Amino acid sequence: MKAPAPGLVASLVAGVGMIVTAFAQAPPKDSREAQQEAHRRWREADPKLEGDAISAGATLGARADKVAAEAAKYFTLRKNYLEGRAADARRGASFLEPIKISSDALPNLDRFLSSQDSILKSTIDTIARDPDRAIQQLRAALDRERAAVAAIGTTLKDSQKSQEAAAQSSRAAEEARAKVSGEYQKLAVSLQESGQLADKSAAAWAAYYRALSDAARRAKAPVTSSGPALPSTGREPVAVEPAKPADSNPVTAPAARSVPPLPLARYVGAWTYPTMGAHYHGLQPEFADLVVQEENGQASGTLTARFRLPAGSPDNPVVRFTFSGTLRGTRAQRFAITTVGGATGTLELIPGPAFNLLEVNFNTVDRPGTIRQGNFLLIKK
Amino acid sequence: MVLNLRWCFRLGVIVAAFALEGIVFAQAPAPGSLPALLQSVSQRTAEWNTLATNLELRVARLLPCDPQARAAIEEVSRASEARNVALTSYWTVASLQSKTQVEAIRGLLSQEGERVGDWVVDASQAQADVAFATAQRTSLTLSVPQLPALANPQKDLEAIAEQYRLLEKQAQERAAAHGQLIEDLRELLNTSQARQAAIDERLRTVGIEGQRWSAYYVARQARAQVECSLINPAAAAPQSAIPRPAPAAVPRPASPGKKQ
Repeated sequence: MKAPAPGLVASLVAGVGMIVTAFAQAPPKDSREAQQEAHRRWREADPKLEGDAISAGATLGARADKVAAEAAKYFTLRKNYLEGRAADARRGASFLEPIKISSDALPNLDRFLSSQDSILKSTIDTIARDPDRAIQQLRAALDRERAAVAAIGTTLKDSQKSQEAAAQSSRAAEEARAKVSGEYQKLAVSLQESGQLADKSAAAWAAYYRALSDAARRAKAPVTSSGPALPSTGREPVAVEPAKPADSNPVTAPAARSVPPLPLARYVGAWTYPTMGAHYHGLQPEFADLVVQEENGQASGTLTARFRLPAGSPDNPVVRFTFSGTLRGTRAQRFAITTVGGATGTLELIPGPAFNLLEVNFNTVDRPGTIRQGNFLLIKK
Repeated sequence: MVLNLRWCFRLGVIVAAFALEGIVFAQAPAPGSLPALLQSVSQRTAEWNTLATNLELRVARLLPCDPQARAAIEEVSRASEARNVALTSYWTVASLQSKTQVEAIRGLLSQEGERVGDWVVDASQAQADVAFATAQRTSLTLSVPQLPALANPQKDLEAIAEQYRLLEKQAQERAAAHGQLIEDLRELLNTSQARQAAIDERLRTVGIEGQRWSAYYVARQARAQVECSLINPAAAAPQSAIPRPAPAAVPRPASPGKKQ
């Protein structure tokens, strides 16, 4: 009997090898531990963050950034873990492709065999008593042939049985396979959805930490226009003095003007972004220079900064604007700004925890290709 | 004009031929696949069946020492062997595919066995996350009267808690379904092993069937040789290709279509 083509067998053996390799390539078990460790680090990064929201003021931003970074690390690992498991489930389903075993078209040879047997038998009977040696040789040959026909008959019955057994067991295996394959596909979909949800959670936590930091900053900066009672829905509006063109600020009489609660020196002067121990929230500045002047209760000045943008960002990293406005009786001072490109916005100057530190927080209107907000701590030159 | 029409006709024939070839090619199973091998089995079986059922009729019309008789038996024997090779190829590939799948199922079962605790941990962590987000939200709620701006992060936490509840639900569903998956994988392993045993048994019977048919054609050829030797002992041994006339006095088994 000839063997089937060796190439065919080799490719199937290679298939077994691929399965072994695929299982060996499954995500390492410690990816789950790394994920749990990241979760623990996130939760332990700053347990008092929320509790300090009322008292920490502007410094909460840096703390929130740290916690947000830990959260981002955890969610990256979490997403990788879920995606890895989803890929495993898809691979599981792909290993369980159906094996299409069909009946191998066994012809009905009963009539043929029985007629052969009858013919052989009758011939044997005819020559049975013939003493001729040559005829007896023929009889022996006919006997052997008849025995071979009988053996085929028995084998065909076994063949029929084995074919039915193969077909029946294949049907049962196929039913079980389809069930498990479906379960793996369902599992893959569930894990993929969880991965997408984890992505959303990561974004939601990042937004939460930003909102927490913004809210904390308001704690030390009383609102200039006292707002109405909190709405039950929607986001809490942040109190911002409406931006006014620089030349629209009337020069108020010294008697009428409000005086900041802190010395003017906490705002006025030349300020720069420190090369050591810098604090920022959001985009990281590479450098920043701020000059603030004051005259008759009117402040004005310029800010020039360059930011480190994410790789491939087409935005202009340089921000330049002038600002002016009236100094008010609040710790945080707000001014209207106009960038060199003509965009408007607001600048907030908040004296820092030390006398020589000043927090800068600016927002401009949404203009494509420009940086729209920045928040960092400057040191007095 | 006539030339143009002929040219168009030829072009049409060529296009139709290509289209037909395309259809045939698109419908043909991949070479080496089980459907392709089964197709080969069907073809070889049909060829053999035609030759086998007509053999006695063909031989009966020939003289015992006619080399065409021996050639006819050999032709059927070769067709039987070709059918057996096709059958063996089909069932060997089926067996190997089945074995590969059994190994894959074993691998999956072992993998899922190792992950039994993972889904439960996932579900309990998702539960803890819901509790954490809810607790943070409650904590901020207490501070909102003092700092109204905290209402914004509080709302963020509300949305996060909602997402966590969904994650928890998904994790719980996975934890519950995992037990069933392992159970079904075990069942699949059992049925696949049973199929493997049945395929191997089928492969064994195909081998035996092949041997039996070979033995039959050897016996049939031997009988033809004896029949020839009865008439012409000299011609029986070499069985030259030249047909020799022989008397029809020797009793020969009757064949379908031939009177005794």
